[in-house]
Amino acid sequence: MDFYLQYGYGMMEHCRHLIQSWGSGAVILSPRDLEEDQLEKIGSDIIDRNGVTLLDPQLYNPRANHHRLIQHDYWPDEYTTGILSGGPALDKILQELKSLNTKSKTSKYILPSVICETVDDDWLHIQQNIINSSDNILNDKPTLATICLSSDSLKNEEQIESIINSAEKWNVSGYYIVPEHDNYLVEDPVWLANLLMLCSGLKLQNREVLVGYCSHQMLCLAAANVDAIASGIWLNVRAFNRNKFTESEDDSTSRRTKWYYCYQSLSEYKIPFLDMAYNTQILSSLQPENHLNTYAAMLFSGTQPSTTDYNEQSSFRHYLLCLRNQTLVSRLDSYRETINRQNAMLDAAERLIRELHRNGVRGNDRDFANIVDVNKAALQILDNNRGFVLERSWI
Amino acid sequence: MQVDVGIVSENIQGVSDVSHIATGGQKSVFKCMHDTHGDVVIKVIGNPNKDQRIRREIDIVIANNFSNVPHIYEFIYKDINSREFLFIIEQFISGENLRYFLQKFGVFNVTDAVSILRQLLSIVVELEDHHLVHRDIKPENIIMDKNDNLWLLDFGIARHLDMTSITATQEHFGPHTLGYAAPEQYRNVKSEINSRADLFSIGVVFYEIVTGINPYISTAQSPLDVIRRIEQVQIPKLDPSVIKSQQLSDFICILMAKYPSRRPQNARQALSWFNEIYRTIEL
Repeated sequence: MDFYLQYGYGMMEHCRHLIQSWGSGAVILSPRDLEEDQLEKIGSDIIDRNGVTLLDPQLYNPRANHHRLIQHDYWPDEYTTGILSGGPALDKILQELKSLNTKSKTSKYILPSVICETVDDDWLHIQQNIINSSDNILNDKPTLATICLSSDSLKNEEQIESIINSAEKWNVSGYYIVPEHDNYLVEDPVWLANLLMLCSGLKLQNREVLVGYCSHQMLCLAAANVDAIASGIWLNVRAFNRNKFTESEDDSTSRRTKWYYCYQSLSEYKIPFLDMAYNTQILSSLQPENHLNTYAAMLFSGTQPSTTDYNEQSSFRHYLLCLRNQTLVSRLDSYRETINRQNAMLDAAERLIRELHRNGVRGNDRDFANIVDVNKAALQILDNNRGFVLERSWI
Repeated sequence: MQVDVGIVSENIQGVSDVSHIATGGQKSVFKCMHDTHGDVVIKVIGNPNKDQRIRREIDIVIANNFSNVPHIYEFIYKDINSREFLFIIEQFISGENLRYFLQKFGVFNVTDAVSILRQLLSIVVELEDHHLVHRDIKPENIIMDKNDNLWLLDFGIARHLDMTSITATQEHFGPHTLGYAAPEQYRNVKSEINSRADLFSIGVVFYEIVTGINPYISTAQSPLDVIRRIEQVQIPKLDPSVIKSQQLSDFICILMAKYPSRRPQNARQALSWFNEIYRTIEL
């Protein structure tokens, strides 16, 4: 499974640095966070560093009013039914998006779409309109249809199956899945199982599946044979939240806490808890392997973690480096090996978390202790319902 | 519609030894000897224009010349005493349907059941190649001849995926046999109906011929209970020790999956997977 950067507020320098450092990579650009000339500039910078770009139109709510988002030429001037009914209004949006994609040097088009509250004939009709119109306008690169699902719609198995069956007839190269959920880490195994079922069902159509707005919890999507997941620095690009496209959303909310991502326990820890690990002499169990120790090495240099210069930048880059590495090795040659590795990773995380808890080291609301079972349950549902097919269709 | 054997001998030239086989609805079925075609079955249908499906069935069978579907040699419309009749002359298959075997001899042994499964999948692959969905695969419509070859009968509700559907879209239920039809078929979700609906029915038939019960019908209290069981109840998997293969048990389970996306993508894929499993079964 591949790893993409999901562009969010304040990520310009991180993207340049990480793509340069990795030697390649993909960035999903965000019109909410970049003006047109910035899109053009970062697009060039990423290409120059051997990366590729995509552009998320973010038209999830055509009534959104975020100031940077609405100043783009493709954004509808007023709330009309244009995007819903097709015709000239939708064509204009697609024409402008084509131009913006060209400037941003994207390799594929992500088609616009509105968030799906309920998978019904209305939403399916809107999707079909967008895809039909894009056939005539966005026809010089591969296209990914956006499937942005509300938390409620993802909890409904019937609705997920309805999307899979309808999508089979869409004339697109793949899908960009944007799943909404309430918390940073998903606590509902049904939600996660349905996402796995959706992605695997779409992947079985031999099309590309890219899932946006992911945290490390979505590493399990490797078992659904997903092509790539995307993540970023702030929580609002690691978990989709529709409110980030409205003006009232504050980009600076709760940003001063530094976290350390321990990929072995799939949990993140505040620095005082690393001090606790230091004091109880178990800090080394949180230490990354050497090749992943680029940004967090100072935490394990022998001094108390809170006295080091581990900062916000280190925290973000460490998270993305580790998650990218985990993502790249998550998909193996067979379905069975892949799902077994996922379960082994969860078992190992569970053991380490237990040991850390015994020593008072906890991840607050980013502790994976209660999430391990969620992922295991969801993977079991996937295996029960699609394991046989995936074992035989693993390409 | 009960008609006398005389209606055949008096209206169709070159027939002899006419005997009555069955009657149902507007149709009576006779067996006889035909001067040109040998042993034939003649179906006599009253008021044939009342149901477009009759003509659709004839067109499908004649146009496609399937290997394991009885050939239709001729069809003749006759006005008899101011009432219209249709005579369909088709190939006679010497054998009995699977329901007969189940009732007379009980469940099939695994070797025979697996052979039936393979043949059914092959037939549906052929239908799929012609963009056809049979939509009524059940023990009554499958004849096994004296060489153990299977023949699929009754294309009365078959659907040609390139032709206009006869069933009105607004109909709540589509044509089906409850207990064998896939959910998308009886719920008339036309956009989802393809050969995966036939794969569902094949799964049910296999389940029934090795256990003796249709898992959806056997303990159901009513037709709606059958639907509830198909859509909401986890049917026990076939015992791998009985059918000699865990993989085969899993395969039947996915054929019978409630949602089409959870079954094989198409009949050809199903047959290919079956062939892989078949090589691992020690019969």
